[in-house]
Amino acid sequence: MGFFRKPAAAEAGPRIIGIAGTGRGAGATHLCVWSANGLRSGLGRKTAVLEWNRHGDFDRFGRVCIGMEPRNLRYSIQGVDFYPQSGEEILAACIRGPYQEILLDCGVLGEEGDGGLLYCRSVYLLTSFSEWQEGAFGSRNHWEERARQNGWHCLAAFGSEESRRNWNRRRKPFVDRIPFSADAFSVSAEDIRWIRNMLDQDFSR
Amino acid sequence: MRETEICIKIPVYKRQQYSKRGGEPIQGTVLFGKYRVIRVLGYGRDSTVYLAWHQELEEYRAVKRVSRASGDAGQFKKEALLLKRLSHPAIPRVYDLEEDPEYYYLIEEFLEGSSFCDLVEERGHLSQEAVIRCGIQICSLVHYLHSAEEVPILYLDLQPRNLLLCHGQVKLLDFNHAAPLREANASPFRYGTPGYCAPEQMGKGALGVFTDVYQIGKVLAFLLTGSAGEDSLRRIPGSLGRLIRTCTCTDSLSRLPSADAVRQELEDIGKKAGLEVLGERPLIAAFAAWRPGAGATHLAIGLCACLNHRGIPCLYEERNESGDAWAMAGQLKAEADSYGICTLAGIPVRPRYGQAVRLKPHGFPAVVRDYGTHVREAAQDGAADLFVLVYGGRWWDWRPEGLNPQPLAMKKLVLCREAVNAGSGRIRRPEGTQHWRWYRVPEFSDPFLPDRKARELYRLLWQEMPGTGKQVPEKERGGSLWDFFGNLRQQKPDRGSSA
Repeated sequence: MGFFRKPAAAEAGPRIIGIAGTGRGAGATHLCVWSANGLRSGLGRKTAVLEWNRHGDFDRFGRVCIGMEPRNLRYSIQGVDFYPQSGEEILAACIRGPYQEILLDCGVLGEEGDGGLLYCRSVYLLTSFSEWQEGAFGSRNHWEERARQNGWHCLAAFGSEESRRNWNRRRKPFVDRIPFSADAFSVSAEDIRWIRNMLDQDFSR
Repeated sequence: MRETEICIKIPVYKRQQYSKRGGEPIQGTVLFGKYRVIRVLGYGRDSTVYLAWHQELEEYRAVKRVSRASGDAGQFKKEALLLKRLSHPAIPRVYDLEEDPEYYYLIEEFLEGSSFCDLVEERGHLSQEAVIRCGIQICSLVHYLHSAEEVPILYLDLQPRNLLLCHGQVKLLDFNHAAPLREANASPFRYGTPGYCAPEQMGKGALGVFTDVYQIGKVLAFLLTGSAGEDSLRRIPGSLGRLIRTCTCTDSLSRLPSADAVRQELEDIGKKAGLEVLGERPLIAAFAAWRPGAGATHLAIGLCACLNHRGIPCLYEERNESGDAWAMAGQLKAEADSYGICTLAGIPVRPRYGQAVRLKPHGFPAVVRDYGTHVREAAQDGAADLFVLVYGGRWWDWRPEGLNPQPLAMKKLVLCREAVNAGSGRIRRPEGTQHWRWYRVPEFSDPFLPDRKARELYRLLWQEMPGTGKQVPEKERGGSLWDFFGNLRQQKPDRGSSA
C-alpha cells in the first residue's frame, strides 16, 4: 500500500545506545536485556545487544536459556541477537549489518567497559537507591559530574521512591524511575510505551 | 418546603494538558507517595480528573480532584459511597478517598476508551446498526443502576461525554449527580447538561427512571445524527426514530416505562433489520496473498472498517513482518493501549508483537488476521473460521502446494481482484479448488472507507462466517470468475501475447 512509509530512523543507520551502572547490581544488564526485548518484540526493531564488559553475564544466560556452547560469538533469544564479550570489530560488523538498534552493556562506570560509551549517541546511567547502597550517595560521586557534563540520562530501578525524591530535590543530575520488571524477557504494553517514549525523547534532543 | 435550585452544568471545555497554572499536578508529580500523575483526562464543573500510575501495583488509576473551597465535598463523598455499592465491569470501581489541605481526591479504576462525543467529533455520526448495538449496552447499564438496589439509583447526567466506547464495550463514567430516587427528589439542587436534561430536571417535577429514559433517547439521537437538538429528533426516520421520539416525550408518562423496555425495543428493531447476535467465541478470518502488493492488507483493513461501521467491533491483527501497522500508528501519532491495540482512523489495530510481549486478552467478537504473504501459516491457522486468499492479477501466482495441509473445518475463500478477469471474460477455478468459494473484488482506493460495492462484497463475506447469517447463493458470488483458469490454460501456449 503506497501510503505506508517506514519510519525515517530505519534509513538513518542504527541507533547506538549505551547502558552502564554506577556500581554492581544497579540493573544495567537487566535494563539492557529488557529494553532490547521491548524494542524487538514490542516495536519490531531489529536489535543487537553487545556485552562490553568482562562480567560474563551473557555467556551465563546464553547457556541457561538456549544451552549455548561456551565462546560462541552470537546467539539469539526471542529475536534479539546477543554478542557476548564483544568489542570494536563486532560493533563495526553490527553497524554494517541489519540492525536498527544496537545496545551496549558497558557494565560498571569506571571499569574497562566504559570506553564503549564513546561510541554511543545516547547513554543511560543506572543507579540504585537501595538502603545498603545509600552510603554511596553521601558524598559527591564521580559519576554525577560525568553524567551532567555528557548529558547522560540517569535512571533508577531499585530503592525507595522517597530516597529518589530527596535526591532530585537536593542533587543533580535528575534521576528518573524505571518501571520495575522482574523478568527481563517479558514486556507489557506499558513497558513498550515507556521504552519508546524514553528513546524518542533522547533521540529527538 | 425548600426551594429547588436549578444548576445547568457548564459544558466541558478542553484546556492545554500539563497545565502549570494554579499549582495543578503536572506530569511526574507523585500524589500520596504512590500515584504518579501522567496527564489530565478531563475537567468537570468543580473537578479535574488525572490519569495516574500506581507505582507499587503498576496499574493506572483515575484520580478525581475537587477543591475544598468548591463546597461540593459532601456530593463528592456521596459519589464515592455510591460507587462503592456498585459492581459492574463497565462502571469504575472506587479504591480510595484521600485529602490534603486544599483538595479531596477520589481514586478510581481507570477505564480506557474514547467518549462518544470525541468519536462523533472525529468520525461523524454512527450507523444505525452501531447505534442499536451501543444503545442496547447503554440501556443495560442504566437498567443495572435502576435495579441494583431496592430503590432505583438515578444517573441523571447521561450524555455523550460520560459514555466511553472501548473495543465495542460501552462504559459509564462520572457519577457526580447519580443518587437514589428519594435523595434525588429531596435534593435542593438539580444539575443537568444543556441539550440532554429532561424537562422535569429544569422544573420542579418529580424525577424518576423516566428521566434517565429521556436522556437515553437524547444520547441515541446524538449518536445517530451528531446532534441532540429537537430538529434532528424530528428528522430521524423509521422505527428507531419513533422509539427515540417516544423516549424524549415532554410528558414523562408518555415515555417508555424503563430502560429495559427501551432495550427490548432496540433488540426488536435490530432483529427486523437483520442484526446478527454475536456469540462468545470470536469469529476469525485469516487473510493472505502469494505475493506482496496483491492486496491482502488492503482487503483485510477494508473488512475491519466495514464491520466496525456496522457496529460489530472487529480487530485487525498484523501477523506479518511488514511493520505497516507501526508505520501507520507513527504517521497518525496513535499510541497502543494496555491491550497493545492502536485505534487508527476508527479501526482497532494490533501491530505484530514478538514473543517477549505479554498483553491482556481482548474481547473482540470479530478478528481479521493479516498474514501478508505467509499463505501456509494462514492456511494452518487452527483458530480461524475463514481462510481468505487474495489472488492478484497474475494467473501464474497460483501455487496450490502452499495450501496443504489445511484444517478441514476452515472455510476457504478466494478473493479475485478485478484485474484478473479484465481481459479474459470467462473464468474457471483451478483443479482441486471446487470446494473453495470465489469472489470478485471491486477496486476501491481507501480501505478505511470502503465504497458501496466493496461494502456489498464484505456483507457477503461476513455471511460466510459460521453463525452470521444465511449462506450466500452461487449466483451472488461473482458468476463468470469460475471459468477463468480454464481459459488461461487454453491460452498458456500463447500467454505472452494474452498478457
